[in-house]
Amino acid sequence: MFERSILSINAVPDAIFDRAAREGWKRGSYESLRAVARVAPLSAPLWSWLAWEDAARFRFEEFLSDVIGLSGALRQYGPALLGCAVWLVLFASASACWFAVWASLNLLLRASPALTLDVARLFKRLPRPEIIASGIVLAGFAVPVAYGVGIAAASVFWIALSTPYLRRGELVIGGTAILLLAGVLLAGGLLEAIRPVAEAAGQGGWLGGEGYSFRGGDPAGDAGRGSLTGPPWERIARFARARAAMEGGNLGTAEELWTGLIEEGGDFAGAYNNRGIVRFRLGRTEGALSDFEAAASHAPAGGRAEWNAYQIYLQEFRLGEAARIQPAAWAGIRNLVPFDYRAEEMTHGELIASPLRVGEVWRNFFIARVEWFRDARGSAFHGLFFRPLPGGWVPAILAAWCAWAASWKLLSRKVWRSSACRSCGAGTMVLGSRESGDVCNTCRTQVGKGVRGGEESERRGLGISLHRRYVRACSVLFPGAGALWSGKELRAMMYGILLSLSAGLFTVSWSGGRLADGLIGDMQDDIWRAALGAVALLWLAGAAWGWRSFENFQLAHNVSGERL
Amino acid sequence: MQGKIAEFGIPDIFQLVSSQGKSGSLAISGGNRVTIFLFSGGRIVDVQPDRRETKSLLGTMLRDAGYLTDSDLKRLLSSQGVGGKKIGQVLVEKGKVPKEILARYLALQVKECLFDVLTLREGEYRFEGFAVRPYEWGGEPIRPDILLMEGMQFLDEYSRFRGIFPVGDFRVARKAGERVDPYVLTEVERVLWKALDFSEDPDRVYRKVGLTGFEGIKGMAALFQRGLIEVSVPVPVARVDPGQRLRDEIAFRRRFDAIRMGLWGAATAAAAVWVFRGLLSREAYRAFTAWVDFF
Repeated sequence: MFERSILSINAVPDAIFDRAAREGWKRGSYESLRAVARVAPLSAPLWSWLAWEDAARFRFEEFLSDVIGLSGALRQYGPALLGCAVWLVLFASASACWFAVWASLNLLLRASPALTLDVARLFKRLPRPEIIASGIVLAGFAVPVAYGVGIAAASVFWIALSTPYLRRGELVIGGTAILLLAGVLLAGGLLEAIRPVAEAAGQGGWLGGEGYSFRGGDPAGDAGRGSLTGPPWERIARFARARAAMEGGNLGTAEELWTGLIEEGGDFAGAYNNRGIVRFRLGRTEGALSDFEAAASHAPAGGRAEWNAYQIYLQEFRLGEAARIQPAAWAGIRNLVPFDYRAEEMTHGELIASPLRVGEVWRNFFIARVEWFRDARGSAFHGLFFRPLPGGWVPAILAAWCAWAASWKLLSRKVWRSSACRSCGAGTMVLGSRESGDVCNTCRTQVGKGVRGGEESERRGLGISLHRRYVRACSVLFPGAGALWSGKELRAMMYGILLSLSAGLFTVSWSGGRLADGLIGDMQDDIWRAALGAVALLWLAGAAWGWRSFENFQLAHNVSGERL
Repeated sequence: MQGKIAEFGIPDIFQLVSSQGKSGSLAISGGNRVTIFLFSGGRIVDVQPDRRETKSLLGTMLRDAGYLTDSDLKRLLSSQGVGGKKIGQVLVEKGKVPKEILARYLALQVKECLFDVLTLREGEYRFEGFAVRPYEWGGEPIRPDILLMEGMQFLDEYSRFRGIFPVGDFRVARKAGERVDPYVLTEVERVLWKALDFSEDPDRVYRKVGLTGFEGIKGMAALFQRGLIEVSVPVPVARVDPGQRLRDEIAFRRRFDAIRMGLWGAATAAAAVWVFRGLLSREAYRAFTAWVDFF
C-alpha cells in the first residue's frame, strides 16, 4: 500500500474534506481526518491542518504529534519540502515588501518638513514659496503612486529623497529596506528558476521516488534538470531512478543503480536496504540479508533493515534468528514517522523500502546560484514590484542608493541644509551632524512658548501646534511615525519588522485562501484572519505608542502639556 | 550690587565699576528693555542689547552697513541658533567680515547702547561680578570714562541737531550739480558726503561709515547747513496693524496646513489602494501562491 500510488493517497484527505464541506460537516471532520493520517502519511497539508486545529483547540499533545508527523512528511516527500521552502521565500518576500513600504513612507514623512523648507529655498524669489514647495514634495509622493510604479521602485525613490534629512538610526532603517528589496529581487529569481519544477511536481515527475507512482518515461523525472543541479541533486536523481526501476520491476537495473550509489558513498543505509529488497526478489537471500545487516550497521535505529531481515527469516523458517531480532524489528518500525507501521497488522511479509531523504537538500536549496541573478530580471516579482525599472538596472539603482547615502554623509559636513526641529517643528539651516541639529536650541533649553514674547511667541505657538497635529496624523496613518520623531529609531524598526511579518503572513495566506481549496484553502482562510487581526492590533498599538512617545518627547522639551 | 537709576545715576554706576576695575555684567533695565554690558578689568568688552531693539544688534548693523545680505544674516542666525555661538565669532570663523571691521562695529554697538541707556531716567541696574575674558575678535576693551564724556555731549546736543530734520523718517540725497571742495569739509562731513551714494536712509549711511547716530546726525546737519544735501520725507505707506497682520498670517497658515493635510490624506488613501494593488491584487496573489502548486 505504501509502495505505490501515494499521489492518489495524498489526495484522500482533500477529497474527504471537500465532501465534508459540501455536506455541512466540515467542523466535524477533524476525527475522520485524524484517522486518514494513517493512510496518507505523506500529506503535508493534512498534518498542517491537524496541527492548526489542535492549536485552535488547545490539544497540546496531539499538536506535538502532528508537528512530528509534518516534519517526517517534509523529510520524505520532496514536493512538500519544496512547497514549504517556496512558502518561506514568499512569506519573507511579502514581509520585506511591507517593511519597505512602511519604512519608506515613514522616512519620507519624517523628512518632509525639512525637505519642503529646502525646496522653498529654490523659489525664495516668489511670493509664498512654501506653497510651491509643499506641492512639489507632495508630487514626489503622489506621482509614483498615480503612475502605478512598483512598490519596491517607489520605496527606493522615497528613501533616496529622505536620505539627506535622516538620523543615523533612520538611515539604518532605510538601508535595511533597500537590502530587503534586493533580497526580494533575488527571491523572484529563485522562484523563476524553480518554476519548471513546480509545474512538473503536480504531474508526479520530480522526486518521484516517494510519493508518485512510476508512469513510464524518464525514470529520473525532473530531478537534476533546470536550476536544481549539483552533486546533491544528481544523487537524488539517481536515488529516484533506482526507486523507479525497483517499482517498475526492472530489478537488474535497480540492483546496478543501488550498487553504484553504495560505491559512491552518502546514504549507505537507504541504498543497502533497498538493494537488499531487490536481491531478495531476485532470489539471492543471503546477499539480501548481508545488505540488511550492512544497512543496520550504518543506521542502527533505522528500523527498516531489521524489519526486512526479520521478514526474510520468517519466510525462510529461520525462526531462531527471527526471534533474536524480533524486538528490535517491531520497535524499530514504530518510530518511522510519518508512517504509522504496526507490526501486528503486517502479516503478509511486507518489506519496507527506504524512501528518498529529501531533507538533505534543504540547505542546498537556499545556497545562492547564478540562475537567481539571471532569472531575477524577468521574474514575476520584478514585473510586480520594480516596474518600470529595467531588470538590469535594479541592482545598479539599489547600489546607487548606498552611494547616495554615503555621499550625503560626507556632503552634510559642507552643504547647508534645512532641518526641522523634532520637538517643535521650527525650521533652521544646519551644517554637520544630523543628530546635533534635529532639536533646536530653544527646545533644548526648554523655553517652551515663552520666547521673547509678543509676535514671535505667537508664531512659535502656532508652529508647535501645527507640528503636533502633523506628527499625530502621521502616527495614526503610519504607525510608528511618532516614535521616529521621538528618536526611538531602533525600537520603531523592531516594531516595523513585527508589523511587516504579520502583514506578510496575511498577504501569503490570503492569496492562498483565495486560490487554493481543500485543506490548504481552509487553513489559509483561518490564518489570514488571524494575521489580519494581528495587523490591526499592532497598528492600533503602534499608533498609540507613537502618539504617546511624541507627547512625552514634547513634554520633555516643554512644548506640550501643562509646562508650556 | 543693584538699585534704582533714579537714586544712583548711570554715569556714576559706570564710573564706579570702571574705577574699581571690576569684571562682570551690568544689566540696566528701563523703558521696557534690558541692556547688559560686560566688563573686564573695569573696561567694557561687550554689550548685549535688548533683542527687541533690532537696530542695535551686531548682525543688523553689519547688514545695514552692507557687509552682509539679508540671506547671509538669516543663515548666520540659524547656524548661531544651533551652535549657540556669538554672531561675531561665527562671522570671523567663516571669514565673512574682517576682524578689524568687526571690532569697529562692536565698539560702535557699545557706544550706541551706552548713549541709549544714558537717556533713561527710571529703571534699575544690577551688577554681578565674575571673571570675563575679552573675545579674541572683539578689539581693545573700551574705557567707560571716555564714552561717558561723549555720552554727556550726546545728551546735551542730540535734540538740537535732530530738530533740524523732519520728525520721523526722512531721506537725504546730494543736491544735484553741487560741487564740493573736500578740504573745506571736516573728516566726518567728508565720509558722510561720500557715503551718500550708498543709501538715502540716513541711518544706513551712518552705519556704512561707522558713526553713531549722534555723530552721524551732527555731520549731516553740517552738510545740510552748507546746502549740500536736500532732505525729503518718504511717502507714507498704508500702515498695517501688526496685530491684524499676525492674525491674518496665523489664519493663512492654519488654512494652508489644513489644505495640505487634506491633500496628504487623499494621497495616502490613493497610496493605500496602490499598496493593495501591489500586494493583494489578483496579479500579486498569483505570484504569492506559487507554493500551492507543490502540494
